[in-house]
Amino acid sequence: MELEIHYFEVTHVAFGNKTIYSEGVLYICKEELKNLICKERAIEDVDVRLAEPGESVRITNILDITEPRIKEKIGSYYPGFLNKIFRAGDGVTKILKNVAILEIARMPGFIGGLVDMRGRLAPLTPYSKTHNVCILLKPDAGVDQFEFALSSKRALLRTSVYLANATRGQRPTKTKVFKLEDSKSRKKELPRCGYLLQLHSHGPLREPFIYGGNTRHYYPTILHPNEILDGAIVCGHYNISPAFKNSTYAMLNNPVILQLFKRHGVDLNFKGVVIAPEPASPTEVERTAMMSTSLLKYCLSVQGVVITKEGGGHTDVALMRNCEECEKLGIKTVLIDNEWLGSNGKGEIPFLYVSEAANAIISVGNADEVIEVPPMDRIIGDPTMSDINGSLWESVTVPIRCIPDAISQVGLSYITTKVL
Amino acid sequence: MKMIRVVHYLNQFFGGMGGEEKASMPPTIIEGPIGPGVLVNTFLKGEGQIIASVICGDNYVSENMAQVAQNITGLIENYEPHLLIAGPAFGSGRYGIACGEVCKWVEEKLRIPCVTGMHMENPAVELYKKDVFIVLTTRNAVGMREAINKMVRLGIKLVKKEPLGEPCKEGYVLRGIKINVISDKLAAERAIIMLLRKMQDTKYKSEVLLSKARVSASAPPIHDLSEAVIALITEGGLVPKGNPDRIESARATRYAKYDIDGLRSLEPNCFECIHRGFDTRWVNEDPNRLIPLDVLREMEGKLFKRIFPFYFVTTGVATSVENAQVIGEKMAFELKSGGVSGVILTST
Repeated sequence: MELEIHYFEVTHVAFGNKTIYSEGVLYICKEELKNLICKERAIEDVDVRLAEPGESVRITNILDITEPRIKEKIGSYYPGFLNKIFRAGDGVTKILKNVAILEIARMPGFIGGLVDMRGRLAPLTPYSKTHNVCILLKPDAGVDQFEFALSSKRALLRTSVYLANATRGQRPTKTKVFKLEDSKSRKKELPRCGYLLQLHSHGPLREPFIYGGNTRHYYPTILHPNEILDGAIVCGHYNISPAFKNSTYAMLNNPVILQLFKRHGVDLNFKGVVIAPEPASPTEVERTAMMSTSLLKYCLSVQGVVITKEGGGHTDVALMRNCEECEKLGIKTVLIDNEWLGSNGKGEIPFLYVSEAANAIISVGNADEVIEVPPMDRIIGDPTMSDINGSLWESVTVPIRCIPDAISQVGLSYITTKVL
Repeated sequence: MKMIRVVHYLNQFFGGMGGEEKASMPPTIIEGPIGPGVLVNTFLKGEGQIIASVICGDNYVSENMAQVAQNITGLIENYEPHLLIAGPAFGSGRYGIACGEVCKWVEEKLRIPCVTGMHMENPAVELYKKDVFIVLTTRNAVGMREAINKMVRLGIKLVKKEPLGEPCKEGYVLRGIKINVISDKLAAERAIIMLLRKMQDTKYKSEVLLSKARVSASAPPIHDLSEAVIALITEGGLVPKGNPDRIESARATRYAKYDIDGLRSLEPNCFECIHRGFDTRWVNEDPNRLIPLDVLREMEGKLFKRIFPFYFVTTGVATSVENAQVIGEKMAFELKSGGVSGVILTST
């Protein structure tokens, strides 16, 4: 399996008469894009707005994020969700780099995120540095949450494919190949590392999609890392804070996988990825931990593994149990997790279960910390949000958990904690 | 930078009022420095000065804990200080607690930095280190000069919002507070570096140290069930429709109790679930599956004596350990004084 990524770097995004990528600028035909999105069910109206890094703009109620991507040969992307199923991870994929597409809607029960393009919050998220195409969706009156969520997601992903199609006939600015095959013999002597990727599986609106299928009823399984980097997993969370879910962007650019690839054959041997659900009942948690560990040990023969999760509470129990089972079989573990320490950082982590085997943990920050910020000149999205008090036109206190991929469960952020 | 306005807190002894016989004196305020305050002014080196000194008896503080800190906050508020320096208290336990308590209140109410100083073994260190900057001192006043020098330097840094060095370098006790900072490496990269170190048996430092969960001892079994009063509690967020007490759907800070006296069961048109951590559809269809009132009513008077007339509720989603402890203690107190002998606590 060989994934060849063609990057088309973008330096500016603007509206134009035609959607086209030319000399670093992405021009978007707003009407054409709006018409495309309006074809989705359950969407009453749509608007498209743009935001550039450094602008005095506050973007609100962000439900998910992706970037423009297409497999030109197939004319689509996100297999199983947007298209009939095909194998992700092989062949050429085109990406408009430095662009993020933001799925935005205000719907009762949904929890969205907030991005400021400048100021104190900006350095905390990757999406203040990208040229942002904001898709503002208005749900049909009285529509069911889940039905709207599916339409909303399709709108986001369709936009992704539509924009990436603008690269047709153009030369990429950079290309990169991802493959796992041992070409150098030296790899064999290097420490064998793997990745255990826990995926939330707590029912509708709280789970990602794997090749279009929901993640409630499946067993731990091996996925080729290329499949994850190439659109096999799509975020499906709508009623959980941004800090506790992995956005589609974070999956496509999964930093654990990218880092393992980067060092593959250099100082480690990347053996592969196991994905595992995060079930709610103890029996299922035990079964999942045992099966995941078997796959890592006896199928991938790894000696060390990074484990990440999404969600909180039950899913931290799964994290601890997975870690414990790995260590029992002699697989060294490092966990990535956020901390819950209260807004003043004085609290203790309220874990339901703590294992002594969890002795190597990377902290992606205290999700409870709050930051007070002044208003911005412009707001994209509704000026109120379910998890923030007051109008976003005023100074507001923003819990860091509301900022997409600031606290990132797969480690896409630079935030950590320090003891005073 | 404008002149830093400092208020100094001292006990009766260092404030020059007297010894043990004055330990019950209520707080009083004087303008300018007194006693060690003169040294504070020296170390401020013209960057600031003591505008007022508050003197209070150590016993007065410990006997009037609840309102004394508030009174003192009120006294100094008018001076519009930028910084409070308390003590140093050295090894004195009562003085240490007074300094800690006053600093904690002033910082919370006036939102100005506060610095105190005491000896490592002063019992107030453990009590207040999370709330207050505590500079480490000698056991007795022999180290006064050095203590005040460190306290003043730290205080100036805090007022100017200058970055602090490591606690040992700055001379204060590791507070155990964690703040978010930006690392120079991506979290995923740090994870892989840590993994390789762990695999090669070289030293690494976990960024999170987990403490073992505290285990509470179980209460003894109910001796005579026929005399037992049973209460129902849930962390599942079931409240009367409209959530009259505005119990938080996550990160709860409180609990509520609702009258179920005379109710045969919990009707879905009267109750709703506001919990944010699980799929609430089934509880909303039949609230008795979260709080089993219907089944318990059938057993009432047969298996046990009666059901306590209120159920208690909070939400257990990302609730801090600190809040959960307070909620638990208050619930237990109410139940115990209400004559409850056993509880069915349902969790989600």
